[in-house]
Amino acid sequence: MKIKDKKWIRFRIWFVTICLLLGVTIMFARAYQLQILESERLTVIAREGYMGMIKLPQKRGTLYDREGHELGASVEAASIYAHPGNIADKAEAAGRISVLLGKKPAEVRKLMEEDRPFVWLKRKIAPDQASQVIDSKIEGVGVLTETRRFYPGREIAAHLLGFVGIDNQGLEGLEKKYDSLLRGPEVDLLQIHDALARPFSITEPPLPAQGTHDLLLTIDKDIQYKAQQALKGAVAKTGARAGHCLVVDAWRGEILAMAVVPEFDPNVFWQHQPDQWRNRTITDCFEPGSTIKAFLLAAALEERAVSLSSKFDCEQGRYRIRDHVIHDTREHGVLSVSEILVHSSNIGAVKIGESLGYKKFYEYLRKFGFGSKTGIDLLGEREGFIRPLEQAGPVDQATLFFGQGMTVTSIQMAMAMAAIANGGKLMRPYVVKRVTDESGHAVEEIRPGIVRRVLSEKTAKRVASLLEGVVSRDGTGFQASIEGFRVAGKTGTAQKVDPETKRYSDERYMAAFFGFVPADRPKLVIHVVIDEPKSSPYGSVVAAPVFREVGQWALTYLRIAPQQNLPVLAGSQGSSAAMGPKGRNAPSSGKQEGPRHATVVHAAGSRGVLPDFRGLGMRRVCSEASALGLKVVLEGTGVAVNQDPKPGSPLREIGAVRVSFKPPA
Amino acid sequence: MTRQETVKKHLSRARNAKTGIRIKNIRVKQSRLSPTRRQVIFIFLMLCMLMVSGIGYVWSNYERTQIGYDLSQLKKEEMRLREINRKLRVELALLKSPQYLEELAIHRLGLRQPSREQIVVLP
Repeated sequence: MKIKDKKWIRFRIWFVTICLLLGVTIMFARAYQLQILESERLTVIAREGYMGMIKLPQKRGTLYDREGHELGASVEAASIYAHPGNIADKAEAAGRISVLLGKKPAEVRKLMEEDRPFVWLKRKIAPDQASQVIDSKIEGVGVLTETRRFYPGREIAAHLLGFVGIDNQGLEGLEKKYDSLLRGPEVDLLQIHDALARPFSITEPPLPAQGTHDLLLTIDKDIQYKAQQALKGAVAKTGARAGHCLVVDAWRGEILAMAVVPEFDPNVFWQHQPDQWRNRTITDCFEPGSTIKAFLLAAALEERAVSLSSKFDCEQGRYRIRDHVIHDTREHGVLSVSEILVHSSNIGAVKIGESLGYKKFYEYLRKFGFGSKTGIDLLGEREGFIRPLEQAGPVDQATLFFGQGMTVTSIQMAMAMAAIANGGKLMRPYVVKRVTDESGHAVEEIRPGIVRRVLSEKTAKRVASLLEGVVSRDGTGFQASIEGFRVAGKTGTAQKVDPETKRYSDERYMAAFFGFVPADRPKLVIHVVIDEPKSSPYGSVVAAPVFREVGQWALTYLRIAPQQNLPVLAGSQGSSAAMGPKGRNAPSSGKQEGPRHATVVHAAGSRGVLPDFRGLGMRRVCSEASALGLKVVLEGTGVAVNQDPKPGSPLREIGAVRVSFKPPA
Repeated sequence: MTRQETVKKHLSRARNAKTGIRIKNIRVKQSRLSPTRRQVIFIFLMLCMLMVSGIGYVWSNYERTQIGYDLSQLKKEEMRLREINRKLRVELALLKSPQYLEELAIHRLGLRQPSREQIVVLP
């Protein structure tokens, strides 16, 4: 081989080597550029190609009543938007869309002319409207899913629940107070799709710590409804300006109902006056009037300033303090402590107050929670006002004993009354019982809280029995009595201060009644206030019937058995015998129960042997058996066909009777 | 040693003196690749496994994508059903609201509130 050839070969080898090296270097350089220098930008471009986001409508927690019925829930609703820049023929688009949305074309046109990239045309519309808009395929107009708050109970507990704005922000009531808990985060779903945009993987990004929460309230929607109905009826009947009614669990401090009239529908809150949104039970302060005497007596008894046997001269209805004369509605002579309460004598109250002393009374009022917030989990609570000793002249001091010169809220009154009912403990009121997360686990459980002990149990019992006298036949609160139950309560009638003359008005009154039932084992505390009734100013006439209506209904609803038919104490009769005399007069429920048969049953019962229940309806069997003091075990439905023990067995040996029923053929 | 001698010696050691071609004379002849039967079977099995796992990989990937499609469909369906459920719950709440029930009971069914006598308390 020639030297020349060798050289040529060597040159070629080097040439190829250098070319290869150069190629490799360029490749690496490019890889570096793509993978490291521009990686971020390119990743984004790539991701856009195969990944998509689905924006989920922002959720909002549900509000339930104590039994888990929805009071406020969010559902999806479609909203129509437009990108004005993308609409070529705005006039035409506005014309078409306005027909679908039921708006004026000019109005839609105006929105489309706006110099913004995005405008809402109409929000939260009906589903069929939305699908029409989708079908119309107007350029630059689209549909977004949002959530809409819905209150299925409409006016039920509206003042308590409040409402939300168009962007799902809580504006009033619990919706505002618990906005941060109820409001959900904005969640986007990550979706990987193929070239044909079919998704093949949807991943949910890890949820932020703060998810949506549901609230379980202490409210019972049925009691709430009844309270609202009764109150609405009373306000309409008396021509009053407003009214509020609270139903509270005496032992736990749970609010069972919080009714306010005038009502509003939170679904369309904007159609009502802002004045109607106000939860008057916590925001409105008023003079308690005579109702305060219940606490005066409690304080006086607790401090032993008076005893149950103390008597006071009520000065025949006129009592002079300095240059001021205090009047009673009726003239009374010497009255006992209980009579002072029953007749609601102002002069008697002043006398009791004088033996207790203003300072002590002030202290007790503070202890009962007046003059400070109750701490209920609602916004806008007011604290009311009591004049401290230093600022109170002799007349101010005297009038405070019958509830003038101080202001309270309904919730304070109800809680203070609950303290008397439950044996002297002031409870913290609350409306939210449980906070649960999205999967239904309880995040927070709110338990009853005792604020302080105000009275000894003994005093509380004595005051309760005195208050029972108020609801007796001669008491001011007779209209609040509930058949079959012992009721304790107090009426109140307070003059309102005329804002113009700054003096007590002779026309504007606040009528109140508050009490608890059953008096011996209290369950419910009910507070009723009627604001400026036109028909009669008296709490005994205007507010007490509301108490009765709500109380009676709630007790039946809560299946609390009536004790007896007379409000007078008669020892501890068993509830089984309670319905006796009533039950016997019950109308017969089945055609087959003729009068002849009823006579047989009565005759058998009076002979001391078990009657023949066969052929009777269930109602009849129950009333007959309970009249005889027997326990009944019921089986099946329809007409009684069999009983155990057999008819004719001596009653003395039987405690319970088992009766089988079959539907009549 | 002269230079010529050195060259000669060198040549005689590595190359054929006549042709100048380098010859490698190793005593033990290296055997060509001749695997035993067992080795053949082993290698064959390995190849099979490789193939099977390859196919398996591709198949599972395909399957995963398919399941992904189904899953996303189901996920969407789930969200749709949940929303319907929520709407139905609200509708149920609306139908069970005291106002509506009272209205139905009084006006359609002709019922009324029970009087005290009609309520029988079970002992």
